[in-house]
Amino acid sequence: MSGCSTTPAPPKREVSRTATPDAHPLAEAERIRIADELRSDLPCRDEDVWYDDMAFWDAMNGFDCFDPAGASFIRVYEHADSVAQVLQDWDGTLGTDRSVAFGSHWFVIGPRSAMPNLRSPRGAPQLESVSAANPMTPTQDYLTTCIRFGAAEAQRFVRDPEGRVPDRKQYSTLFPAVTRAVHRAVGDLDPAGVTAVPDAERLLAALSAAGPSIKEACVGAAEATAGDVDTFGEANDAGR
Amino acid sequence: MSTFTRTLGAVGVIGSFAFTVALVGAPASAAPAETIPVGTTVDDSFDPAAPTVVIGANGASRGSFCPDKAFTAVATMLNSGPGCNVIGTSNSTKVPYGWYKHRGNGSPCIWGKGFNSKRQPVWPALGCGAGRTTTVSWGNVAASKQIRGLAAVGWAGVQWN
Repeated sequence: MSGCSTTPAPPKREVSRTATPDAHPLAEAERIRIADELRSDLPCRDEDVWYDDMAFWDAMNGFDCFDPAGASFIRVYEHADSVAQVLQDWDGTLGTDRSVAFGSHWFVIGPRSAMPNLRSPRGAPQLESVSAANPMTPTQDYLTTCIRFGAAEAQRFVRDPEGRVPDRKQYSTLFPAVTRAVHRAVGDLDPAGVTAVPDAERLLAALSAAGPSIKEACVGAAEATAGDVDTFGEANDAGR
Repeated sequence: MSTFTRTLGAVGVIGSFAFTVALVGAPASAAPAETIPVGTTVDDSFDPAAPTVVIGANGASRGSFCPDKAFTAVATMLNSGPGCNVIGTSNSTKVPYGWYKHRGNGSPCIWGKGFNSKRQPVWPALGCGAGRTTTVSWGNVAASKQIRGLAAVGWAGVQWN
C-alpha cells in the first residue's frame, strides 16, 4: 500500500427513483409473463419486443404488435404509478380507432375491435380506471431525460460508430459517463439484431435490450450531478 | 379521486371531425381558415386561437407568421410555453425548429417536441451550444410546438421558433 494520502470522494447522494415506495413492484419475469398473456389475446402478425422503455424512467417489458387489424402496444411497468404517467403521453392518440385497457402495472393501446378479446392476465386484473398521474419527481424527470439522450445516442452510434458524438462536452456534463455506457451496452448487443433494422422506431425496440444498462448509468449520473443539475420540468415563459 | 377515464374525457380530443382554425396573423381581408383534415390526431396542446402553420409531406408550408419566442435555460430542466400550432397533413411531415442563444454565460442543451409514428409525443435533441436549426418527426398531428432545455452551468437566454 502506498503512503500517499488521498482525498476521500465526497459522499454520493442516494437517488431514489420513486416518490413513494411501491408496495408491489413487478419483477422482470412477472412483467414478461403479463406481457405474453396480453399479447396472446391480440392480433399480432408481426411484432417488436421491448425490453425496456427508452423514453421513460421506469423499467418496462412489452410488445408492439403489427397486424392488418391495426397496431397494438403492450406495456408492463415495474411500478404501478408509471401507468398513469405514461398514458398521459398517449392521451391525444386515443379516439374512434384506438382505445386503451389497463391494469395496475400495465396498459394496452390497440384497435377498438380487438379490445373485447382482451382477458385479464393472471394476478393483474383489468381496471375500470387508474388514479390521476402523479407529476414526475425531479429524479424521475432527470432519468427520463437521460434515457432519451441515451436512446438517441444509441441510435446514432449504431448508424455511425466512428462518428463524432455531437455536443459531447455539454452532454457529458449533464449526464456524466452515460455516453460511454451507451456505447458499451450497444456493443454488447448482437450486431446482426440491430444493424439489419431499417426503420428508426423499430431500431429503438431492437436497442431496448441495452435500456437497463443505460438506465443504471443514468442513476449513477443522477447521483453524480445531484444538486448541480435538476431536470424538473416547469413552465418557462420568459419574455412571452 | 379523479380517474384517468375522466382525464381522457376532459382533454382527449381527436380529429375525427374536420374543423377549421383561423390563421392568426394573416391579413384580415384574406383571413383564411384552415381545416384540420379528418383523421388528424389533435393533441391537447393545440390552441385554435394561436398562429397556425400547415406542413405537408414535402415540407411545404402555409399559414401564419410564427414569431420568435424567448426561453431561458438554467440548471433546472424547464419547458417553454407553447409556440405556433402545426397541423401536419401527412404521416411523413417533419417540423422545423430553430433556436439560438443570444445572452447569458451558459451553454444550453435544447429538446423539441415532435411525434413518433404511434402519434406519441417524443422529445428529440435539438443540440447544445450557440444554436441549431433542425427538423423533428411530427406526422399527421395538430399540436403546438414546444421546447425544453437546460444549461449545466450558468444560464442562457434563447430565442426559438
